[in-house]
Amino acid sequence: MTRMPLKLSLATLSVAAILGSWAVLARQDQTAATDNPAASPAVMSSAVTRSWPTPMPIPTLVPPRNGEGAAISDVDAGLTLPPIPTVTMPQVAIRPQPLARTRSSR
Amino acid sequence: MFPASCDWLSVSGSDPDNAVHCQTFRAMNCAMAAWVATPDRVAAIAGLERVRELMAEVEARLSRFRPDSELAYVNAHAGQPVRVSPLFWEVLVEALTAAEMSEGLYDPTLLDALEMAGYTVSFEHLSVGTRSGRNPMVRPLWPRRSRQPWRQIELNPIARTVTLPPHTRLDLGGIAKGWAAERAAQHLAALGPCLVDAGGDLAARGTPPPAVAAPGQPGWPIGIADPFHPDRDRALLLLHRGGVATSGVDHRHWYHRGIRQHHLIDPRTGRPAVTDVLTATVIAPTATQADVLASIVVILGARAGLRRLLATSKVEGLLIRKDGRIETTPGLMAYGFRWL
Repeated sequence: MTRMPLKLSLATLSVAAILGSWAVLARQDQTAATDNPAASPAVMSSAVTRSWPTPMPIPTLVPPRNGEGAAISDVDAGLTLPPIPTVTMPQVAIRPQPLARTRSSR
Repeated sequence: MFPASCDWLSVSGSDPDNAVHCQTFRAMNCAMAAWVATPDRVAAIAGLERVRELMAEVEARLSRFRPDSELAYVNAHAGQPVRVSPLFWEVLVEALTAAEMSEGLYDPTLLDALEMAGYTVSFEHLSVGTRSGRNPMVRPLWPRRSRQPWRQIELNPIARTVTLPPHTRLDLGGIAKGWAAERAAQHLAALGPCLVDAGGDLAARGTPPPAVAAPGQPGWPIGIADPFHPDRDRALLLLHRGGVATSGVDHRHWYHRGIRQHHLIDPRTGRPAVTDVLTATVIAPTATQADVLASIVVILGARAGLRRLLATSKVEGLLIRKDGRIETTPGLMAYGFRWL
């Protein structure tokens, strides 16, 4: 008997939640505010400004000392750049094909 | 491209952080599938297995073709309070809410009418029949229906009991798959972006990884079946939240006493709806709502059905008429809609 109020509240909440989910289908003005105000342009630009790092200084280009064919490592003595890794681009369909299909039950 | 059909579990993409796991199986006499994007393969396997168990439980509890189902027990005890499981309770409350919101155009108490139309066994066992037995003098005796008997169903949330009015039987077939897809997606969403397909009723959560979606086109790519060529898609849309469902008279139809019947009963007449819509596809905030609304649109017919969709917020749809003409709501473009 002591647990009855808890059962009541849980059951009431479950009914209220379902009613609430259907309430959005009530005939409303379709020009309602956007669902996610945080995604508005003003908020996003503000967030970007705050998180943007201090600009890096533009490096000065040093011409090859010995004309054409100078190795990259010669530009700055002592600095050797790692080899550029081979990157395999993932096969991404520009126009996605259907993954699933909606249809009448079968 | 991720395979559209995977027997058990598959992993897509060379990047394990963007892996998509999939499981397909059959339940409720339909093809089911679920996809979830997560780097945690073990959690994905467990989550997808839970989805399969959920679908099996929904079928075991809600099937009207299983004499040992909870639904059969409740129907056999109309007039008495019956304590039901949490799953049964939730689906029934959702069904009654849908009935209320649709002003009775969705009705979970149409089992007598459905059986009177000849839908007495699971569809794969139903003899499709022919027109040859037609005899205009022998017509089904359609049951007399009290006015919206679903309004007289008594629910006791404290004891979690259901009392059906005498001689009233439930059929939750019009909502069970949508509800199951929605519930499964809620479960999988804890692991990552996911898509659940319950026999053509789909629920999605989150943006899929590049393995299944193109850059700049977020959403799970969903085909809308062409009812005139069932193995082809007529259009494509991108779904990243909510649900989409299709209802129609293109597949589940048969002849009963020589008269063509189908499974979408018009609650206003108690008979298979007379409609010019072959299939209706609806996008809604939940798969449950999409499932119910798609059936309502078919029952209403093209003009009234389209008006209904346009008057309902957060809902889009596409209707394919029996004569091949197609009507869409303008907001469909927001879902990356395009013809195929």
